[in-house]
Amino acid sequence: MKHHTMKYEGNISDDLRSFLCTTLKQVTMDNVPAAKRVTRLVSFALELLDNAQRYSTNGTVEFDWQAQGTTLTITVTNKSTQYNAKRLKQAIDHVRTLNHEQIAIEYKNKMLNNEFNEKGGAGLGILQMAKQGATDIQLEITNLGDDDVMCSSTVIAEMINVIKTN
Amino acid sequence: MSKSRTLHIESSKSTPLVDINTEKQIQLIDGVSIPSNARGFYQDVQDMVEENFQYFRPDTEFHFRLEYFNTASSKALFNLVKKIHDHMHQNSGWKIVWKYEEEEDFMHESGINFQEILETKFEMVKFSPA
Repeated sequence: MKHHTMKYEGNISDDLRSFLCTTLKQVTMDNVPAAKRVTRLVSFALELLDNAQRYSTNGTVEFDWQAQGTTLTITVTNKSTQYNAKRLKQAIDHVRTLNHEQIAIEYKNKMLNNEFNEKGGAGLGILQMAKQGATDIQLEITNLGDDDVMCSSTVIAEMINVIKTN
Repeated sequence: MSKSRTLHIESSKSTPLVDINTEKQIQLIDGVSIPSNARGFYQDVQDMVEENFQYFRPDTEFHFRLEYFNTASSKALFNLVKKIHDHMHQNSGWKIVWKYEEEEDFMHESGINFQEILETKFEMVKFSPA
């Protein structure tokens, strides 16, 4: 299995996310012909980039896609506020405590309720990634002083046979 | 006076084609859906559909053919599908058609999830990539 990487650092916008998704899809298909469910893998990257675009305090991100063997590791880093980073951490920590059945129930509840605004779906994206078979979701927060933090979100997934959790 | 009500939005890099015309049998949302403001984008669609439910034909089919979408779109699309579904008991000839690319289970599973939450059945249609 070929090792392949993709990195991007700079401004983030809807068009750029679109470009990255199209490129990642092609990169995966060309480098990991056995990979199935490519869209699902790209959707993990998309979710992290979505969050970064929403919460980046300076409009820029660092994006890192690393495929090693059959494992894909996606990391997105951006500046954020303490408050937003804490909210994201709470959502991730919470989802990590849930089993598959609990994830399915919470997902359903969040889809049916109205807890959704311009700033996001109150953890729906994290739940969705867990539901779709992300092996692990992590968040690292580094204090930069005042209200600023550096937020680094990582999703790990298997490229060949993404585990179907539900 | 014509009863035709229409909403046509061309696709962009981050939003799908929307083609709603109450006089046509097929209503279509087609493409990639990853806008940062998905709620705003789909609110217009939802408002138009909701305000004109009475004008749609009895054999109307709502086709969803998404390549991929972000979570915000997923929630907004679900709300739209739910609105349509809520009106289907008065319009038994209506159909929700969920199209997904073969070998890609992301959209297929999303359709299944929507059906399970709404406790209903869509027509699931597989298509080959162009």
